[in-house]
Amino acid sequence: MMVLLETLPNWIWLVPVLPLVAVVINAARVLLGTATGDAAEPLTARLSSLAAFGGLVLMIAIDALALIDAPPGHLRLAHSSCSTPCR
Amino acid sequence: MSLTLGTLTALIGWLVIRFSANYLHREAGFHRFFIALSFFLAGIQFVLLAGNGLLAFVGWEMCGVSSFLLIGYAWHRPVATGNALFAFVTNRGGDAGFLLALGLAATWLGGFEWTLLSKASQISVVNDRLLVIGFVIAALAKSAQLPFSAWITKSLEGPTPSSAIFYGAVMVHAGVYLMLRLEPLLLQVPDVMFGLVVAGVLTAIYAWLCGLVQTDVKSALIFATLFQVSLMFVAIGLGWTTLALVHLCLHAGWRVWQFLVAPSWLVITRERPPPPPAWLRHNQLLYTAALQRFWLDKLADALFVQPTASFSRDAHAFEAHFIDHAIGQPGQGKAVHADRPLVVADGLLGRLLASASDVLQRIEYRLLLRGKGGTAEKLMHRAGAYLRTLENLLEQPRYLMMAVMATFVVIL
Repeated sequence: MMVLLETLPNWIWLVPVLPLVAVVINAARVLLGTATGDAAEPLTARLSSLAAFGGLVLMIAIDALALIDAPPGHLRLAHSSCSTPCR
Repeated sequence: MSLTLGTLTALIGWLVIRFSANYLHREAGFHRFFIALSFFLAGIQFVLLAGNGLLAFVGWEMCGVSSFLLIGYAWHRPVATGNALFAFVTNRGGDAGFLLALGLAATWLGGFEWTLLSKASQISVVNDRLLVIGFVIAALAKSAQLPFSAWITKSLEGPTPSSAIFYGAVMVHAGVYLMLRLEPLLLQVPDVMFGLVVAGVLTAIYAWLCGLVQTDVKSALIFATLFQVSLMFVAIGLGWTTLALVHLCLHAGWRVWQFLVAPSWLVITRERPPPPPAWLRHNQLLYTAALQRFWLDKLADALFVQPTASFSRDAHAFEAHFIDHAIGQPGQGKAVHADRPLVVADGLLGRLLASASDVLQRIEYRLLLRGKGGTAEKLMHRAGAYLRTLENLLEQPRYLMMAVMATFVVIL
C-alpha cells in the first residue's frame, strides 16, 4: 500500500489521458454506429463522467500526498530538447 | 499552482459533465458534445500539468480545437459557424505568439522546460523581451484581453455548459495561468509587465462599459468575466501573483455556477434587467460605443476573419478551376466522344486514360475486328500470296535439287 502511495504522483499523466480514453471510446462508438439515439446517451455521459471523476480523484490523492511532501511528477515531451538533465 | 488549478479544473469539468447529461438530453449533437468536452478536459489538463512549453502548446491547441467545435455546435446555422470561425481565427493570432516564443526558447535556451525558461537571464535583455512578448500575445488572445477581446462574445453561440467551462471558468483563465507560470521570466522585463497593466486596465474599462448596456444574461456574464480576468492581468503586471492566483480560483468557481444557472435566471429573479445608468445614457457617444462594443467586432472581422475567408474562397476557386480539372471528380465524368457515350472520363488523368483506351480500341478494331477488306485481312492475303509463290518455286525439280544440295552442304 505504501509503495502504491509513493508511486502515485508518477501516475499524474493519467489525469489528461483518462478524458482522452473517453474521447476515443465515444468516437469509436459514434463511428461504428452504436452510439445513436436516446438509448445510447447514458453510456456516453457515463464514460465521460467516469473519466473526469477518475482524474479528479487522482488529483485529490496527489494533492494529499503533496501535502506530505511527495513531489508530483511532470509530464515530459521532447526529452532531446532538454539542455539540462531531465527528471 | 499546477496541482491546485488541475484539481479545480477536474472538479469543474466533472460537475459540468454531470450537468450536461441532463441539460442536453435528446439534443441532436449529444455524443458530439461529450466528445468535444472530454477532448477539452484532456487539453486543459495538458496545459496545467505540463512540465514544458511544448506539451503545454499541444494542450493549448486541443483547447482551441474543442472550443471551435463547440461554438459551431449548431453547425446548420450560419451564425454559429461564422462565430466559430471568428473565434478560431482570432485565437490563431495568439498561437502564433506562443509558437514564436517556443521557437526563440529552443534557439536561445536550447529547450522548452518551464524551469529553463525561468532562468532566461543568461540571454540578452532584448532577446528576453522578445521571448516574453510571444508568451504575452498568446496569453492576451486566450484570455480575450485587448486587442483580442471581440472573439469571446461571439463564442457564446455554443451550449450553455460549454460556455460555463470554456469562457466562464477554465479556458479564459489559461492566459492568466501562463503568465503566472512564467512569473520569473516576467520579472526580468518590467516594461512588459507595465504593458500587461495597461492591457488589463483598458480591457477592464471596455468590459465594464459594454457590460452596463447588455440586456441578456449570458452577454452580461461574459463581460463580467472579462472584467475580472483583466483585473488578474493588472495584478500580475503589478507583481501581485498570489492575489491573481487566489482571484482566479475564486472567480472560476463562482462564474461556473453563474453560467450554469443562467438559463434559469429569469425564473430565479423574476425581474427585468436594470437599465444602463443615467450618466451613460446621456453621453450619446459613449453609449453608442458601448452598444457597438467599441466596434471591435467589426475591426477584428476586417483584420482577421475577412482575409481568412477571402483566402478560403480563393483556395476553393483554385480547387474548382484547377485541381478538380486536373484530378477529376468521382461520378462527374463526361463522354469523351459524342458517338461513344459509354466511354466517360473526368480530369486530366482520366481523359489521358480514356484517350489511350480509345487508341487501343481503334487499333484492335482496325487490325482484328473489322470484317472483309480490313488492313489485317489485306496483310494476311499478301503474305499468303508470297508463300504460295515460294511453294510453287520449290515444287520445280531444279529448285528442289538445289534445296537438297544446300541441305547436304549445311550438314557436312
